[in-house]
Amino acid sequence: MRKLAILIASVLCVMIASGCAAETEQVDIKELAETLRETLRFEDELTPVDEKTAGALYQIDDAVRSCVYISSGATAEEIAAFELKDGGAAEKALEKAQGRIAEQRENFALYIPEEADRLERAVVERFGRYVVVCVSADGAAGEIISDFME
Amino acid sequence: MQYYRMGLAAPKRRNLNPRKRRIRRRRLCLLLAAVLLFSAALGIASACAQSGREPAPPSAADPEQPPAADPPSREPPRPPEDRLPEPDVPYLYSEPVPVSEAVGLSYFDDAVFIGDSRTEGLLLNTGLTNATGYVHKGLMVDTVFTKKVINKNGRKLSVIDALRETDFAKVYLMLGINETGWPYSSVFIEKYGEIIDTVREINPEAVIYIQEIIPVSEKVSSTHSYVKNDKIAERNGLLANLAAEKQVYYIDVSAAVVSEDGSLPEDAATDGIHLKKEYCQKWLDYLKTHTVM
Repeated sequence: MRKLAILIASVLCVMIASGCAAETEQVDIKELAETLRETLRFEDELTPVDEKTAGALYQIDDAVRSCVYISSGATAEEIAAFELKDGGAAEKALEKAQGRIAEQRENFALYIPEEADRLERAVVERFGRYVVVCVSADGAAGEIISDFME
Repeated sequence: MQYYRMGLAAPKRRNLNPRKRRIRRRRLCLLLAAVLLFSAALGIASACAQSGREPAPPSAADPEQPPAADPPSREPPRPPEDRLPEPDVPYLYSEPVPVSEAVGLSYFDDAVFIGDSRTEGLLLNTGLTNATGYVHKGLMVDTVFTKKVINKNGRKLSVIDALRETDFAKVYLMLGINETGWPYSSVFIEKYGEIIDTVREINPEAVIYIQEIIPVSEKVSSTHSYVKNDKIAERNGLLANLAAEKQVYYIDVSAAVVSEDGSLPEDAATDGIHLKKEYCQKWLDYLKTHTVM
């Protein structure tokens, strides 16, 4: 019985430790955003915005770091990566990012309907304390992001 | 006093002869008059010497002519700050705002930009985060009043309602590209005028700038079903007239970005309509050098 308890406690400790490691492992979000921009096919010109503009765009004002590329407005194409302080903050940022994409979808539906379809396939995911968004015509975005975040 | 007792010589007594006294008095008066006359003459001569003016420089029209000798003025020249102000020249509101000394980005701290997706691009691509942007894709002169598209403190408001809750000193308007499909220009101008009237009602002191509609590329103009550069040019002419009527300022921002044929260059926008970052920066730079106050 005592050995079983020690075994369960050990397993729990390993699980907690690996979870913490996943949250604290550093990811270069700028490199991630650059990789997406250079690897994927985009129809519009994507230009970087400063962190203040990025925060205002996504209404995420507590990011530790951010890297956002926007289009000219001709398309809904966009890349955004945010590093938050912990998983809790990242979860809230994920909701904000999902809200941004939903609003874009609504706006483009009346303006440029084909962009609304593109937004339906947008990648909006959270990896530990990181949130990544990618709107592109290229379906490989999800795989590239997952490979990078592993 | 008995000076002899003190061993001192007694003071000499003056001659009290009345005739001699009269002569003496007369001489003193004559001497005094001469001194006064001499002083007056000296003062007048000195004043004349100081008030003499420099001769005028030769005119540009005829540099060979000797400079004219101006008569000496009675008063010395006044310093620049005391000169009378230039007579007021009425501002021609129908003319574009002339070029001015470039302002810094802080000029836009109290500015509100109202516009469609093109203005949205301007604000995002130039990082003009200090200005307030009430912008929305597809925004038009009528939906400015009706469509609740502005997020403000957790609420969705129309542009005009959001403006009522905003402190501002300047408003930059650019609307019209989405209305090129409207058949009647008069309706477009009437609604635009209502926006100006409402802004004035909210803040009578606000500086209002009408930015002309930036043309599109030649490719878009020749292929799009309703967005045409000649229609845009017609609407811009009406906007200039509106600026004169409402006494607001008109900025010919197109001059910053169009090519010689008056259309947007092909490399200025991916779709021929929405300006890329480089051209958004040219647009902002033009605004920075065309202000009125």
